[in-house]
Amino acid sequence: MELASWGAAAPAVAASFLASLVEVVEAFTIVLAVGIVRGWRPALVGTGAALLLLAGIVLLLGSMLDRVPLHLLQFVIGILLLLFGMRWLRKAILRSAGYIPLHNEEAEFSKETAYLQGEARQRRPHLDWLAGLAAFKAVVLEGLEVVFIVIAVGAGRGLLFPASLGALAACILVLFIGILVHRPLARVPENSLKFIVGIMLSAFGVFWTGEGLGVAWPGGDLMLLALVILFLAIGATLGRLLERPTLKVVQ
Amino acid sequence: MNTLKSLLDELVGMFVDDGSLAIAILLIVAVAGWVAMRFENTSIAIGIILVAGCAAALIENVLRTARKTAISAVTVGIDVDKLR
Repeated sequence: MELASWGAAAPAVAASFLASLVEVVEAFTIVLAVGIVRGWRPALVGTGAALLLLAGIVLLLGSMLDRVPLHLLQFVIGILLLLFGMRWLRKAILRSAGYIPLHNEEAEFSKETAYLQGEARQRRPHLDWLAGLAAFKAVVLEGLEVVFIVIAVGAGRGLLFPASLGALAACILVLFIGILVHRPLARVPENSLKFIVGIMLSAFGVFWTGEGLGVAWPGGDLMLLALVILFLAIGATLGRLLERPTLKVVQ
Repeated sequence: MNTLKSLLDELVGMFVDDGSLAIAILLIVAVAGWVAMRFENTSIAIGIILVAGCAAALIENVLRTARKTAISAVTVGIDVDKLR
């Protein structure tokens, strides 16, 4: 791919990298809890099975996408991106303003660990199966979002390969840091990432829904940047306007 | 069975969290689609409907949710000002 093409692909790569970062961190937390409490065998078997299922979904969808007319593809993916992106953006604004509690990886890790330890105390015979299933579920659930994002930001312009590279880079980064620190990655600024990704996906959503309906956007692809600025301004203004103190439990 | 159900729930939850926002977005796209089919040379009008409609839907939804949450906090007796 030429340098200019990579320039055009940058928003898709960035969106899939940042979104995947959030999802992989969440999946990593559960797999780590399973690995530490029940050993790495069920954790790795569950994760491997989930990755196989996700690969199957990607192959199936990839072969189907080639047969869909481009405008229809952009229209359908544009709507899904709008629903997905605006949902993330809405939640990120409400979280940053203090109306919804922030997602806490340490708490998730403790919850999963406590659940598995509780099952272990009762000496359940199917515990390894249960632990493997927990890892499987976490990777499939978070992985489905990664698959959707990669396809959504990549398929409309033939950018599936660079978008996949963005997601792969996020997986490698999380795994690398996770193996180094060997604990949940609680310091990842998840809400800020979700805020940025929500903005990008909402902008892609409006842009592609419009293209699917035959809109010739003024400035072509540059309109994406204008849409990003618009959603950023709306999100930042609402976040500041509605900001309130975080509700804390006072001891 | 539970795993399958939570997978399906998650799949729907990926796109629909607050139902009213999802409905608003679909309505905006429907109006834009209707204009595209009904009239000619409407490229700019469709663009404006999509951009302005989605921006308005997001603002309205966030403001409404914040107001509702604030009212619930007052109802259960949490004095937000004292926490400042």
